[in-house]
Amino acid sequence: MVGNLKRFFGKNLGGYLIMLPSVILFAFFIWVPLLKNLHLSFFDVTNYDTIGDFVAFDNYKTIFANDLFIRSLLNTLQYIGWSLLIGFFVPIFLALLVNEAVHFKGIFRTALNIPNFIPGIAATAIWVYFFRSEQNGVLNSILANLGIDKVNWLYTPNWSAIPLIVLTMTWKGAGATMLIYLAALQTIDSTYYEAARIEGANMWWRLRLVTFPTLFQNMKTLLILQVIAVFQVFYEPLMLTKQNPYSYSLLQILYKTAIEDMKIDEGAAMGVIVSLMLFILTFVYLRIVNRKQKAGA
Amino acid sequence: MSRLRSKHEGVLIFSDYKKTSFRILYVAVLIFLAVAAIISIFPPLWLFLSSFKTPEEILANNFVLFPETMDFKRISEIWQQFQFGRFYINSFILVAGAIVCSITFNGLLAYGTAVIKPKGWKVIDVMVMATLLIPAMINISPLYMNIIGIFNRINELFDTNVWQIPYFSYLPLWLIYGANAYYYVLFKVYFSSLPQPLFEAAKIDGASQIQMFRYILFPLSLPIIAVVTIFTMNAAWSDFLLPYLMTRVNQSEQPIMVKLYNMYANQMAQVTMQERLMTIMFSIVPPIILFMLFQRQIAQNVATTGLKE
Repeated sequence: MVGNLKRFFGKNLGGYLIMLPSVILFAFFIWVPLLKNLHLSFFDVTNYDTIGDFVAFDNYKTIFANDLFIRSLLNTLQYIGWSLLIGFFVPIFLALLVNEAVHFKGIFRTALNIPNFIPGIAATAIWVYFFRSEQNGVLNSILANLGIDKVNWLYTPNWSAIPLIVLTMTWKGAGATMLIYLAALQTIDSTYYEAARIEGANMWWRLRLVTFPTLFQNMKTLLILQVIAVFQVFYEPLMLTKQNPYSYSLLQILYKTAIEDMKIDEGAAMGVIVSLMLFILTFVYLRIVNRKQKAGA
Repeated sequence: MSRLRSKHEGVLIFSDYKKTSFRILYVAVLIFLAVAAIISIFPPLWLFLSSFKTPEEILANNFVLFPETMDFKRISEIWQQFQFGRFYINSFILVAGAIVCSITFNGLLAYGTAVIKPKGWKVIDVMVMATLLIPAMINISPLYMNIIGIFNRINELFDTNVWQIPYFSYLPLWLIYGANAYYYVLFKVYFSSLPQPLFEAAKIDGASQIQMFRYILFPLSLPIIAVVTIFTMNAAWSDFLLPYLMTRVNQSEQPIMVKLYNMYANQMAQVTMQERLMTIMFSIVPPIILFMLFQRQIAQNVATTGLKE
């Protein structure tokens, strides 16, 4: 027994020691807070120093009775929908075009990628000036030059600002996603296209038979990554539409609850709900994708 | 158009471009891409030019891209008035520490799971990968509670006030970059692609695991270290929520992003439009320079790992 232990540690101890500091960091910064969220969500907590009484599911009852939280949940579905509609296809389309360009290819690739290196808060601060509803907002003043009346970009009645917010996110992220698709396109052996051409395939058939099957693997991964990213929408609505409930995001209400209003317990309950949603979503998605793969093989 | 004659790769090749319809299509593609490129560059360009405008020019009802005069003196005036130098130094300190932590800890963890592989490495790998799912902000208040708890404990044990130690509150801001699943994946993919017999040979020659890391893995890993450095620089420079919480006590240690955020969150702040625009500009210049210098490495890395930041 002791000999076995000795052999086990003799073989593995070095590896464990090398990984230990990093594992401690992951535990301290991510795993423990995740569990502590679950813990706090069942207690009464209104300051950073002490944990109060056990309250069972009261915090969960409170947040599900909170209209703004329900609104944010529904808004998240809208954010996902719009970001799949706009954000998902733009990078694919751009990659196809850039890959076909022989002139200015490098310039296009660089220019499209610049927004990704502008910090999110700074980028959103710029958009604040673009979408100003006054006549002197950047977009409105451009419209004025063209002789068109000003538009109330972010506060139109019966219409939420979510599509516009998704547009600003796409503006920032599309270039980097495009690079991934572009890399996949460049791995395609030109003999495949050659073969398709010899068989008389026109442009559309070449795209369908050669190009898209190559991109499909990346599309599957990037789809779920995009949906996860949408759950992280935060400072865009915070700075662009502020308190407007029709574009309030989940992290926005979490921030307001836990940090601004110091209702740490309710914030923790919200955090647990969002984490659960993300785990279930990813799990179901991976199951579907993997089953399709098996069925296809 | 002569270059089209030598196009042999892609969906359309030189033989297609003999047809006029495809040539027209190609021109349309170029025009479309030019428009997309202009849309990408226009907002930062507008920002740069507008930060030179007078208040009357900024608030004009008609759009004019260029300011009437480019008064570069205003840059240094506003820079000094708001003491941006200090916020820049704070941001640089934040970034430097983040880079050290992000390379050391994510690198070592990936060394463990990709090369050494002690028993049970898969469990750690899965647990780390699962954190890719969780937005960091969800954990922010329990994490902040734990940090405050530890700070208080240190205060009691050593009978000091750690908040008064310069940049002590940056410790968690640096260390959190050592627990980043995304950088871990970058390292792991890279280490797995290295020829494994190299490590076998070193083991037979009696190299310890630390020696293997120091003399074999590290020199071979400079490309991926460069990439993780670039990404960490960008992320740490843009980071604001935890830095915002940690510098509430000592506001002179705020990095520039927190400064920018406060300017927008606090509507009462007495700042002119020009000062606001200049602040945004100051906050985006370093990352853009970084991008311009290293765009080739960035593009290449995305190509090999299929992941972006």
